[in-house]
Amino acid sequence: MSIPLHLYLPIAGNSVNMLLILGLGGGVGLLSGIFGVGGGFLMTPLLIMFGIPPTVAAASDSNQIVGASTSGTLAHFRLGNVDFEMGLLLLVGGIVGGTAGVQIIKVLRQLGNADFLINLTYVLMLGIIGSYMFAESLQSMRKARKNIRPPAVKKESLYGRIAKILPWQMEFKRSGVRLSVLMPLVLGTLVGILAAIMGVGGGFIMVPVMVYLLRMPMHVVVGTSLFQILFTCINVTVMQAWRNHTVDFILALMLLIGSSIGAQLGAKLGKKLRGDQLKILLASLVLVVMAKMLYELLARPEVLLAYVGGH
Amino acid sequence: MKKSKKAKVKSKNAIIIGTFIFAAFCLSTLSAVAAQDVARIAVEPEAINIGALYDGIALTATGSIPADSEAVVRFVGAACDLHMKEKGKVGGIMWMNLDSITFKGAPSACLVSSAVDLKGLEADGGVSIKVLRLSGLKRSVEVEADGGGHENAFEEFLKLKQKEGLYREMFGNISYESASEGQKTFRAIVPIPSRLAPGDYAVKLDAVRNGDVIARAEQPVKVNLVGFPALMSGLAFGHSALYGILATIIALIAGLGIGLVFQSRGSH
Repeated sequence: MSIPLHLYLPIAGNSVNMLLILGLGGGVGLLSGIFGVGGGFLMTPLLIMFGIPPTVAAASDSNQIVGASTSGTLAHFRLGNVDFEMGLLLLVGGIVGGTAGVQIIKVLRQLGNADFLINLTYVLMLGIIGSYMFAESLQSMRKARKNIRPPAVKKESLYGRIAKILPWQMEFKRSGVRLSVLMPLVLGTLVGILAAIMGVGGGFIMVPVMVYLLRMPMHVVVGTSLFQILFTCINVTVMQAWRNHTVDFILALMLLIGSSIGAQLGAKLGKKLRGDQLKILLASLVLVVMAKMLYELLARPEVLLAYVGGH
Repeated sequence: MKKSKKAKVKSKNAIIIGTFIFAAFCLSTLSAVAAQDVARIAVEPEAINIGALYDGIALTATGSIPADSEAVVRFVGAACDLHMKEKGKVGGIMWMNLDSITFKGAPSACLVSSAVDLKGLEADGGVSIKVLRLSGLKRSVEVEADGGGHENAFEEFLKLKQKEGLYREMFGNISYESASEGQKTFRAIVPIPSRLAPGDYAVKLDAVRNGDVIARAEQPVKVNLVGFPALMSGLAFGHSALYGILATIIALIAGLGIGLVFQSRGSH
């Protein structure tokens, strides 16, 4: 008697090889375990590549991230690495942004441009973040070789001066920073919009935002980012299921099982690599995905027709 | 007088006999023609149930056609209107969805099977065979679009449907088994794709001689979602908010469970 390997996904309207989806989840989970990111930015394009309609891939991935970020948040909460005040402000922004993003996707699906916008947003975000990370890690690797020390006192940037004059300044004790409450609210909204459009938790956007724009310490960034991602993705999942009927729960559950196992293995593997090596490898991975998506936007499509309103 | 009366009776008998012979000839000819130009089809299974483990099936069509004809078996979905966007270059750089285009009366699926290459049958002449091919759908599918420049829209539509596996021409999947009394039996194995929407479909049989259809038959096939996919689809489309909340709660519990399992393993 042969073991059935295929499972029919009623929302995606297609059957998939269970081992392929578990393997895909495991592979992306392995990378996210090594590099410490959610992995949504890799998962959605890979699902699209394997024949899942882009809108279903993005929404189901959000559902998967709900599960994946739950265990991560719990672990960081136990270690005291979650800044709840900052996280809640980012969350309020994220919910507003996520709701707006779902509405944008709904309108664009009717116009037939949802898939185009998803691809374009990916190319831009992956390109910007990938290039920045690549340049920064290359620079720090060179500095480490030459043993150059950073200057002790840095002149405050224009951004830093603007951040200080904004109203409603507040002390975030866990992060050790003083900021206007407007900053996490606005930045959370922007990340929420991108998360809904791209079907990602927003981790790979939120982490640089917290480090470079909110100037939070790295250990608090990871925990707070996961806390915020969890709630943003809960909102995106419910909204996508309710408004767009694009969440395939079976697909999400299979990905979650694969990615949870992969992430555990990746975390062990990641300890064997140096920080700079990890960063440059992740940046290269991000840029490869970006190049592939950019090629799809620039090269003549195989078929010059696309469905309106998803599948 | 008697002689002429006898002659009259004889000629009357001759007319009656002649009429009988003619009628018998006509009837035998008609029945022979009827026996030759009849097509019959039976389909197994009569309904396709899409359950959790559905990954396409092989649908079997059996029946008979006139011995000197070729069978063309088509698995055809109900006609529907498909609203699409035609891609074009924006600013000469990026490909984007531009003009709205509607394909009216296009079957949701069309799988054409034959014993020999359809191109060969088309070469025999005749018009009907052309209609049976995928390219023949151009006659029945109406293209409605904004503005001009949509000359290749139907060809692109065929490409899209073929890429999805829902439109396909295949040959060699029909075999002939036996022939008697001017009829031959056939068996067609039609591979039904995994990407299939629930709805009404039909298996259509056309017997083709010299490029023309000489007999037809068809059997309806219903495609249904059953079991778990039916339950999920009903929830996702009928109670979408509840479905979203349930999907979130289950993902939360699963994530928590997996996290606890690995944390407890890691602590040992």
